[in-house]
Amino acid sequence: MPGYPYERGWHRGDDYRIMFVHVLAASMSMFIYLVMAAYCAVGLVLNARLAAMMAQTLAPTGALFTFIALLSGALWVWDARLTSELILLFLYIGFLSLHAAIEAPRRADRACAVLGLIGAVNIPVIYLSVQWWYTLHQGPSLGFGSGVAMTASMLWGIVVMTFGFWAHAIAITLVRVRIIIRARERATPWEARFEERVA
Amino acid sequence: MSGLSNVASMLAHSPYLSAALASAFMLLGLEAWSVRLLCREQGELSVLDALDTTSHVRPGSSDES
Repeated sequence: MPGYPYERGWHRGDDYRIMFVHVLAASMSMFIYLVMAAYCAVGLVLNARLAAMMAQTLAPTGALFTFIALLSGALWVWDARLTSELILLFLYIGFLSLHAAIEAPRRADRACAVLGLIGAVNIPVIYLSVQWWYTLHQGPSLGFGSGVAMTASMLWGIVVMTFGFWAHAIAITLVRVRIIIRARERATPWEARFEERVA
Repeated sequence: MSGLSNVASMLAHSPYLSAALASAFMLLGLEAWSVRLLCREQGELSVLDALDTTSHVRPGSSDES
């Protein structure tokens, strides 16, 4: 395979360190989608505006982590996990596109909530793909019920990077949801009073 | 210092790893920068400014009134 990073053999030296980004980006992409689907369900069932705004806020960050996971996953092959991760990226892009395409925010929220809930079916498929199919991707080294199959120093690297990615995702989500709330509620009396107070 | 030079040397010998790390962190930085830009467009205040602003609000004033 010309150009394939593994061509020097399966032992890749320091290149294995890419897992500190790849694994965590992939797990963040799945977790963010689950949280987004939960907000979609709450928004749909309880007609809660804030839940719909949170779902809208989480989608770009989830899409970015999915893209990073695919980018750092080396050469593209039709591997079960990579393919299901690509479907997740399409779901995020579909969610964002659908929201942008519908002008009325509440109608867009409801349509996206349905799409988000349907797409949640893909998450267990991604997680279990390495167990269901014999693929190029290695089996789980860290997961529910599978124990920890790595040394302590690598585990610490994973923990530190996990905190870093979480901090990024939470900070971006909170700032973006504030922007969305203020943009959507611009016509409401409380927002007008808030702007007067700030000025 | 030797730790840093070791890391630099390791990255220099692993172009694939360096490229993947650089692109991943660049994308995260771009996202943070774009959100900051949106904040500025909307005229949002920084956290410190917001704290300073709330100190000027008269006690007892409420958004709900």
